[in-house]
Amino acid sequence: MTGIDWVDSGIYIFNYIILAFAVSVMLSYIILALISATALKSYHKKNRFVNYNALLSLKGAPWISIVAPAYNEGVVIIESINSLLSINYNNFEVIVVNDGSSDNTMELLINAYQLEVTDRPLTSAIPSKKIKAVYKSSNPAFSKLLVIDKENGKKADAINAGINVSNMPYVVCIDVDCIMDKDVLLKLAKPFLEQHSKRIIATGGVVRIANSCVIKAGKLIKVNAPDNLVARAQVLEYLRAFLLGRMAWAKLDGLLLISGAFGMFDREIVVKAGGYDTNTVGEDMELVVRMRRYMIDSKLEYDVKYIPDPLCWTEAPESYEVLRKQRSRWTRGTMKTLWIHKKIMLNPKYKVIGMVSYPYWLLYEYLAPLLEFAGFLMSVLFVSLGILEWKFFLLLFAMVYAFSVMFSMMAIYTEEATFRRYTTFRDLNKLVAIAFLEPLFFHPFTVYAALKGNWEKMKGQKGWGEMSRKGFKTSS
Amino acid sequence: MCFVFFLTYYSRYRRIKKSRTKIYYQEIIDKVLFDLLFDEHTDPSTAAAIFKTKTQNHRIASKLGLKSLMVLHRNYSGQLRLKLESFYVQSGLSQYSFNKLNSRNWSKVVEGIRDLSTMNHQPAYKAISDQLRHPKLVVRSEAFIALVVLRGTEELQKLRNSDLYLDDWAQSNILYNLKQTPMKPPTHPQHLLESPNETIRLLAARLIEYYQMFQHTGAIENAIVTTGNNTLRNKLQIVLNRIKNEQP
Repeated sequence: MTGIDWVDSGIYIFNYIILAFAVSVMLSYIILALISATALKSYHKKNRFVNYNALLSLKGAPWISIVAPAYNEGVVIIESINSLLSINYNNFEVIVVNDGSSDNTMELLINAYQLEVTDRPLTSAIPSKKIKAVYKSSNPAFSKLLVIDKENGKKADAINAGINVSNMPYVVCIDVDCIMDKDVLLKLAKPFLEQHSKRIIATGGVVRIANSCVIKAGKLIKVNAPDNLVARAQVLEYLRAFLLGRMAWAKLDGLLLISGAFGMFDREIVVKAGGYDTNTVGEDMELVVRMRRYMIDSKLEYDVKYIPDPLCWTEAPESYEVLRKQRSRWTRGTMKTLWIHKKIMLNPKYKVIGMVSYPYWLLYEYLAPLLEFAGFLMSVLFVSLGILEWKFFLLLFAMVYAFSVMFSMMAIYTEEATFRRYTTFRDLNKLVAIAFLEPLFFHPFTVYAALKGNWEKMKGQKGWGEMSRKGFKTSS
Repeated sequence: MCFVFFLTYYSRYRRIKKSRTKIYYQEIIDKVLFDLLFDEHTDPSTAAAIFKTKTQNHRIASKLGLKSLMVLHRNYSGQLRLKLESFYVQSGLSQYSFNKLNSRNWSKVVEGIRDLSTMNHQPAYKAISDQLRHPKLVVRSEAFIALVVLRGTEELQKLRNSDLYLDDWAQSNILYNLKQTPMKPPTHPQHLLESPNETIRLLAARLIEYYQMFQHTGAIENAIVTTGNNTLRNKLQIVLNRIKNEQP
């Protein structure tokens, strides 16, 4: 140490703050993982003998609009829509919202589906940019398809337009380039059919990574662990988040986020809550928090459900630049949502979301990268001053690394014990290998991206950033 | 960390071993069931004896055998279906299903109820009726559905005073079974519409729609007027509107 009392005391306190933070993060992860394990077991027990096709016999099955915003998706739009139209369900329509694309998306749609302008009545329940026209197909084979052509207003605005045009009680909001399981609506609809005393306002599902998977005609044919290391690290990250995290939050009734790529909502509540916020880039989380607040403020009994089955597959960024933009955007979205809804922080009126979920998000999702970076800076400073307690530092590093690998292994084991999508030993080995590597290259990068997000937010940046995609590996 | 690591690989190893066992037994089962259905010289007792000898009542073989049997039972009718039902009893698989009813694991009980009703095993009627008193709602619902599958829609008259909450999911399962196992329509659906159980009233309306018994639309209209439950009223109204649209 330095021999200066106050500096030594400061270092001592700092060390223990970092240690306490690291231990509390690990403990919270373990607690969430245990709750998730129980919830997953219970879900499997309840659903392993369920015949989802039975729902096809019920004429009164919930009517669902799938709202898919599309901006410059000309390359994938036709295959994606064909895939959506072939979903195994009776009572649904697909609403594709062309959000002012500058490519040939609209032209392709008109030609492929023989679209004609329809006079379907429009509501303006939620504000959105001007709708130029609503199209329906003249071909009865595509009677479930509706296309909205509107002025560009970004994703949230496009979904709001889709919700306005929908006249069905439930809306499923998806990213148009995602690959959906053919039974996706059957599985999403089931909780709504079982609702009894509480109104189910939203159901979230698991999003998985489709990089290196084999896709044919918009259907997932074979699941592979990605070859690209960045994408493969995200597989682990998604497994941890969806299987060991969100499942627990759903069980605790504290789920704040339903992925923007895939979620089902009670349309009436979405409209009453005001629809998607077009001023944030984290509109998915913001909507769920607002819908929950609306229900609590209105003193209405409600529930948010979560389905752990892998129903939606998406392409993850493979380059650091795209990943950085995505994570930076997520950070800005989290900051904005936490700021908008600061009133619920530790407010007993909002029960679990106010007393547990919000503080957790603030501390472990938003502030964690900042604290990690502060710890890193202090370590560099101590090294340069020659006062670093190497024993303490190395022990802490080893503990955090070991925990990180163990937690990833728990996620892999959970996948292995439940859904078993990665069938070969090769894939398993690839995932295990990345569990050892990921804390060393991927996690530090996400911390950097989060810091960049904070910086961009301070500078007032609001955009999404260009998210170029490589496209799925297709099989002919 | 090491523990989870080995657990993951051990789990994968066991899975591969299990799938090999499954392949082995599935081949035997396919051969036995093919002979049972299409070989004139193989009667159910012969097929059952071969099945028992070759599988030694291995748990995986019983599971697979039952699964294959239920698929075939759904796909065939007449004499072939009767042969399958007879094989179900003589192979000991019906007993395997019965044993599930005594399980402390409620999901096993549900499985057992479903096996027995799918295979149209009438002697299970009493044992399944007893499950209407099971503490778990999901088991009671399954028992309710199974009794209808076993005895037809007339069974609903006996169950009309049941206090079981049949949510839309349970009702879709009942309707699905009506499609899978053609049954006669209930003779007095209007009595079901007077059930003290509101969910049974809704089911009755859906049965009227399913069987296109348009002469009973008046009874649904009455039920709409008399019910004090808004949710039920709305759902009945939706069914009624659909019936009116379908009416010639």
